[in-house]
Amino acid sequence: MTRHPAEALLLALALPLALLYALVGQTSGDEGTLVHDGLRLLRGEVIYRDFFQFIPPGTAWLAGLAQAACGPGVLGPRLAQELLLVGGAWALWRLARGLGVGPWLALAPALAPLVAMHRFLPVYNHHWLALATGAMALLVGAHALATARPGAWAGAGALAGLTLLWLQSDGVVLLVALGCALALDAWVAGRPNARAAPALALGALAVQGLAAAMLAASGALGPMLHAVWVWPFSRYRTPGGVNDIAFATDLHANLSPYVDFVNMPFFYAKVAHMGLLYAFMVGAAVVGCAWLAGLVVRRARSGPGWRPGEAPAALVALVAIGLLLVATRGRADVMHAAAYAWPAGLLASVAASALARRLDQPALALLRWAPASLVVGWVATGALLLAHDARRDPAAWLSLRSPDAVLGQAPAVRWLRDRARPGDRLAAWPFAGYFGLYGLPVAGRWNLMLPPEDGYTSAAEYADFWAGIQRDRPRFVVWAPVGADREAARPLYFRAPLTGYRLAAVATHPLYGAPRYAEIYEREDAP
Amino acid sequence: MTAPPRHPASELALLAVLVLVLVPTLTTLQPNPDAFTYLSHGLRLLAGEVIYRDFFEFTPPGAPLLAAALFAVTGPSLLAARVVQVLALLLGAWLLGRLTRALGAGPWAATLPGLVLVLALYRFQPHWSYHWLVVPTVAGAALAACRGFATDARRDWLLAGLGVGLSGLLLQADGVVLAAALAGALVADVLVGRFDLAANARRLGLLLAGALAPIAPVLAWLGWHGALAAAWQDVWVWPFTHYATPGGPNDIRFLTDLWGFVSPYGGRWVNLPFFYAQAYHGLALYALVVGTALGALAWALGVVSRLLRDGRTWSPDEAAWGVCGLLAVGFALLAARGRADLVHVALYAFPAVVLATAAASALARRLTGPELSLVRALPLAAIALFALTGAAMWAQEVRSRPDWWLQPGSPDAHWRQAPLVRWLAGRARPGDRVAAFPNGGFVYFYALPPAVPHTLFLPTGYLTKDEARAYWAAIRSNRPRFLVFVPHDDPARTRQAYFPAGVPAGWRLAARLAAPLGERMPWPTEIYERADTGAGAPVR
Repeated sequence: MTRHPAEALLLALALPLALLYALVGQTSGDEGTLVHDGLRLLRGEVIYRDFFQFIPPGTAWLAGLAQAACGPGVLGPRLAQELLLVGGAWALWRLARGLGVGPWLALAPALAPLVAMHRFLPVYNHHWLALATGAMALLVGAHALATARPGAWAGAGALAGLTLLWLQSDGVVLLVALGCALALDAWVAGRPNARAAPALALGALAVQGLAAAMLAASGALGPMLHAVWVWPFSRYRTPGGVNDIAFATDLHANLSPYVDFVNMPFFYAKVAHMGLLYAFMVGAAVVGCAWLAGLVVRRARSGPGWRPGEAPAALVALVAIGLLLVATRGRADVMHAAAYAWPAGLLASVAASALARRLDQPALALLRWAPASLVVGWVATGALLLAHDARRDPAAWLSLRSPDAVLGQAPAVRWLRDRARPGDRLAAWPFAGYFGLYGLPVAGRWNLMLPPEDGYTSAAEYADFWAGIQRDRPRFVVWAPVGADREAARPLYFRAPLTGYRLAAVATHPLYGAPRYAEIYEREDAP
Repeated sequence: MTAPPRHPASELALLAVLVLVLVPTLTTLQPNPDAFTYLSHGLRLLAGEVIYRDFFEFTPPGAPLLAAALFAVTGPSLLAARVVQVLALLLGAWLLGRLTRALGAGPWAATLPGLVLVLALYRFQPHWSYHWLVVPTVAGAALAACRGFATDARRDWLLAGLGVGLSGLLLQADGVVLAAALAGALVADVLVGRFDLAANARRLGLLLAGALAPIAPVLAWLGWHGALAAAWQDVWVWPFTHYATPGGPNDIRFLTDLWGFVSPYGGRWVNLPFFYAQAYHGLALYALVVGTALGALAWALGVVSRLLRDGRTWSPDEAAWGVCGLLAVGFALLAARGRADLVHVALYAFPAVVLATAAASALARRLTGPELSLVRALPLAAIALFALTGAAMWAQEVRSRPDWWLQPGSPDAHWRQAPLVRWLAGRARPGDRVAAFPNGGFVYFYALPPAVPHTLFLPTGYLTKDEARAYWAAIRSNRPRFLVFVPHDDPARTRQAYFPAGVPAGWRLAARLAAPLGERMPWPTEIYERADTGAGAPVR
């Protein structure tokens, strides 16, 4: 494939956008946890063995590496993530081109992650890492389907294995989709490729095996298997819990004209954006299933043979179907749906291009662009909403300062730093991340501790966290509740008296800022 | 366009399904005050009053005249009115099918607009309404015009004109949009067709003649009774200045109520399958209306650009698409104006469904190849799913309110047993009249004739202060024996709006009874009786 000016435009748009995301002053409890995990690794602790995490170790390892290079804080991990996302955008553009999408239209699915998805959670997060390497795995997988080279299959397997290091669900979907595409290719094309499957498996195993060996070497393999492959299925989304959000059931909050979009053009942009997001996700899966079934019927009736572009399209369809299934599981709010929508956007642009070729009458000259305009409209409305986000909160979006300079100066962490002496540690909950990152090292194995009533951490885990405070006796205990009404939340969080500590300060914290306050308790026997 | 061959199997199947669905709606007790407003206007006409001159109405006189004609035969009967409306819906569904066939859809695909009309659109407001009576007249006019472009037969254009006239008599907005769509198609035929000005002028003449056939007698009747100027004011001036005043009850902008519709928590849809059905239904409705309008515009521009580039004119088939495209665009604009809530968008969605079905069929024909054998069915399946989700929600509505929906027997017998009606009927003497507000239709239909010019009296954001003053002036001058206040909100808060000067002197509270039209209104109806009529002690 030759170079095209659209490719340069893609990079020209994606790079500044990625930088903007790296610098944005938004926070998330998850980001704090994930980046702080990396810092704990740098401090010599071992993930799963010394502290809890339920996603694979890659996100923490990358955060650790980035902080080793850039210093503690979110900036390094964010820069690494954004770089990967630019690579993912480029991979999506190449993939779309390979599937017959025009160079300019291919910009839409390529830019969608940065423009239309990332804005839902503009921080360091495993979903965006998985998106980036997932797109790359798909590109290499499409290449493998086209060339049948074992090396390409091994590369696709390695990238899928890498995706599995960020997030188990995405990695599994990719590996299954690649395996299914490989089998489908052998059947539909009528040319079994005996070396492809071993190559795919070898690629994935190389990455996963290395990770497992590293964990085993530090005695964390067993805890990892439990935390990553057992805990999420029993604890992540319990009925009635905080993560028990069924697919699309929070859509209404995003479509209300009264929440934040009093301005009608932006309200209509938001409605169009949300409507298209769900329409693409469900539509891609439904159309993908129907098309794959048609392929099977054709193969059974007419014998072997792909048509140009069909094999990689089948791979993308399988991933779109798989990710929709994943999106409907777990916490299926709009943000998570958006994180899984990238293959749907890609497939929508492929279908739009294919449809345009069939609407070839002159009277349909404009109509043939209608499907493509929906894909472009989805991304364009995402851009409008992103601009609206920036306009609404210019201090967060347009200050272009390092987020660490802002978050690290939050009154609560500054107070902790000013007061701390070497060797002091803290326990913080429900989200310890930013306190550990900008304040003091965290004692105990829990970085995230919600009350059992939220259906996330169990009563036994909460008791373990509480017992850990009594056992480790960190100098500071920080309670930074999510809601503004601390008194209403207090009985849920303080399940037993915090004996031996006294309230030393109340200050705004980096995660939410005013008007949310953290209560900082100090050990009574501390000087 | 050649007339599509008849396909009795699909047409009969459609009508059979719709009859099964619609028959239970004849006896529903689901309350809708608006329906009684329109029906009571029929009774006022039968009583010798003249619409616009003696009482206010902001829609054309077609529906009240139809109700009057019907009640002249049957007597006041909600059931009879519903039978007529069901017949109109069946005719409308059949005509929509023929129209869809005229655009090239297959016989079974063409049953979809009729199914959608009843299962997905009518379910929003299954009551006596000009919005439903106008469906067959609009569909019939569009069908006749589509045929007219192919045959140039005088009958077709006269019929199209008749449809325009009848539509205009039922609902001014629909009539205007239909007329504009047909006129627009004629202009387009001059510009991108055969450049035959004379032929299209003849068509326009026939169209006008057909339209005047029903309109002229009604205008003459109004003129004869001195109601023409009032009709102009009520039908053509008032709605533009009052119907959707900023902050008023009808000031709902397009799409702004969708969020409530896709909320799993806001309504009765706590159960996820029904939530998904509802969310799909709401999103699909708006997608159909907006999508077909935009698609029609893009297609029209494509036809024009083809003409400019290649000099090719449009065929009669394309003229039929042009008629329906213009209609869909016009109805989408109507839906976006005025009270643009989901219900009103549904009322204007049927041309979009015809166009979407025809487009889905055309698209299916282009998606050739065995691997697309299932994919090509999906666009039509999406429209069918829209109908099915409508049916599912309707079923849920019936299940949640069996006391409204599953009552056998005539609804009139039930309503006549309402405490308010029985109280008034038991107390009334010949010549007694009543003023009931905010919506008096129910009282006027079943109990006593009205003594006020406005059947619907909403003093805030709907009627002007002058109109409210005229309302109370009519009460003071006509001195009805009873005043009936049916609060739809906490009377402690709203009393001032309805009784700006307090309960007028000369009337006293005679009874407090349960609200007649719905358990959702916990506030009792207050009946005031003129003090000089020898009323007894208040009844509680």
